[in-house]
Amino acid sequence: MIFSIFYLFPLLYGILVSFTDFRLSGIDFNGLSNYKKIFSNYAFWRSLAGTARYAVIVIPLQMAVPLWIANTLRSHGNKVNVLVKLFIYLPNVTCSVALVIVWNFLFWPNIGLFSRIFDNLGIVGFSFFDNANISIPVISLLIVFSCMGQNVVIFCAAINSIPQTYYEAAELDGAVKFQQFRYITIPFLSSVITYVLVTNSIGALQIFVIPQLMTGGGPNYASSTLLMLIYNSAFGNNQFGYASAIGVLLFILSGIIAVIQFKVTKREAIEY
Amino acid sequence: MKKLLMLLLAAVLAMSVLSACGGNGSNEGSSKVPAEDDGVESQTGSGEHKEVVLTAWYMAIDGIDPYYEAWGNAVTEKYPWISIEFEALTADAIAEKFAVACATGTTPDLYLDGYSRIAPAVHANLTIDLTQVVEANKDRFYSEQKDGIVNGQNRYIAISDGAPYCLVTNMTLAKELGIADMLPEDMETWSYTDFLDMLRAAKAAKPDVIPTSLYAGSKSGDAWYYSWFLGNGANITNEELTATVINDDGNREAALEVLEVFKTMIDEGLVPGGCASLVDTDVESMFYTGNMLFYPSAYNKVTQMNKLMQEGTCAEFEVDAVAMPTFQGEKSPVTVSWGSDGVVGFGNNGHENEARMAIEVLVSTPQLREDLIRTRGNLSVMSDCIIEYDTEQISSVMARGADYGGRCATSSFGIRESWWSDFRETFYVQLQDFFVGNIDAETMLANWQNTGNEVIAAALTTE
Repeated sequence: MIFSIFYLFPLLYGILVSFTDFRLSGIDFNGLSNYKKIFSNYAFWRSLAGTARYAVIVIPLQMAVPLWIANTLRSHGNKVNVLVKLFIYLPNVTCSVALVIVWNFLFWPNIGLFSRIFDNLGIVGFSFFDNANISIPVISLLIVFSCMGQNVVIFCAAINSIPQTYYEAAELDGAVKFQQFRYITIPFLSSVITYVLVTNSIGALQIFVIPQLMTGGGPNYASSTLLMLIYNSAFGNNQFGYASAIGVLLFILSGIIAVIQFKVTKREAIEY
Repeated sequence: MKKLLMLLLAAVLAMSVLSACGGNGSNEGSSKVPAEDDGVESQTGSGEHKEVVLTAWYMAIDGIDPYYEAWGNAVTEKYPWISIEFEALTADAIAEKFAVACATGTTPDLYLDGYSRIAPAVHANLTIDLTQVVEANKDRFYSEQKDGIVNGQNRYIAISDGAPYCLVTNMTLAKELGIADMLPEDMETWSYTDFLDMLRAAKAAKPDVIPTSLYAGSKSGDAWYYSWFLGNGANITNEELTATVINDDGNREAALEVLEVFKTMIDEGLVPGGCASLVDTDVESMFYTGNMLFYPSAYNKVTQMNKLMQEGTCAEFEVDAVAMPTFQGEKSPVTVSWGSDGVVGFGNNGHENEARMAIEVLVSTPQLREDLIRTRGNLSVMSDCIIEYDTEQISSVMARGADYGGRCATSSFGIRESWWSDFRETFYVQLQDFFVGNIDAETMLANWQNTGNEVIAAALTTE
């Protein structure tokens, strides 16, 4: 019942709204108009491209860096483990808006810290956000930094559950750290890696807060994402039907990517 | 058994959620009978007044505004069974919250904001009829209530006129830099060359100073740009409001002159880098530091900044305002005003009459409106209001702003149309591309005209 109220009903209602012209004065069924409009709107294509660009940077980094950190922490004592995890997890429990405010102080043109440094180097008036080729990587790094704590904790827990005997046996056989990681850690973590990959991919398709607050999606949608387009269409322009149609496409896209990832990464779990 | 208990628990939770969604049951179901007060209907139940709590939203300048509470107290004093619960919304949140509320039928009983934001709800007939209130107080208004009349019914009441757009000026800084005398004597008549020379002089006198700023990171504050175009004689839409004309032969040259000024400001470093992603509130923060000469905004900022200075949240300096320049420095150009700030009521909670009575109290009590208008820094639309400001200097600036607004302000170029929100986006995204150098001025105008026309055509077809 709860699932129906909070998930199923909004989902079905959203799909229904996507076939309507949802205005303040009422709802009119307009068939596939919203979907046709999506594909003829360059803002959609730019936002889709922007989403893909964020995802291409964010997903690998959000997988690789936490995995490396977790693997490194395996050989350290408990105190170091806890301290490092605490430090890395801190941005996860900090309000994204507060983080962005601080980052804006760093990246702001003219009065930001980096801007001052660039000024001293003779590069006056430099802006990180005028060019999507710069703003998307910068924002992606910030997203990775603010979200990787979760993955570190998951990978640490998974690595700690691998029996130590495998590593000891490998050491006796002369396996170096990288070989242990490649032939013991990775295979044992395959199901966890799949889970993290799928959830992170879905998360990457839903990037919103940080670019919305830092660039607003500009210039001309170059750093926009699909979720930003949905938000701005619905709440900026009162086009709820159009926004719902993009939402439906995003939902389908997320599903397709998740299925592909499950298929590609499917392998038998190792029991121990 | 365990399953049954789980099911029961889920059912109870679901019921509680559904009942919570149903609104405040105690406020509903009262019957309507005519009352004697000022031609406005009252709501009673079996001869005795049933207690009613009205909800009201307004845009906060700085937290809960005591003047709104004063209005609530005045309503309760006159109608003891009515009280008002106010909710102050930030500029960032108000548009989203109001749009969702209108779309889902969860609006408050009272809503105070600019007409440009309220207009879609008025045109969708979501707001209650206030014709009785306007009729009962028609002698108070300076002019006819033009806004908010749909099908002969008045569904919105203006409290104040929006202040005209201008360049808010840090006079202390101008004097310190020795360039105050470069401002026009009447604070109105100056050319693009005069303006750019003053920005250059500021930069030359003190390189750390930010002469002024441009911004294109959000849709808000766009009226400042429209003031430049309209003031220089470039119309944005045609008179019938059925097409964009900014790139037509009669307007293109004037529009290009404006864009040339912006480009010069960017190229010469007279504005901060990153203008394409800065938003108007970023620029406001820069101005608060006291290190920016001109702040692109409106006259009402002068009073609002004075309040912030008194509270210690802004550097202290003398604030003035100068009109936007024109290409050759002609007098009395056109400036943009967002129209009026005012109030509407909604009847979806069953409090239509109480909302109307509360609005009537606001309209018929000059003191309440005076305080509101003074805080907002806007101009009164009713003759019974005499606004006194904190200092003579502010009074003088505001009087100048009122005169300037009276002569030059316009809000008739489409900002009250239902398609405006979509239309303004077509402007900003092109401006962003222009600011970062992806497109030139001619392309920007052509793109804006094309995309703007698409938006208007689509809206007119739907209507």
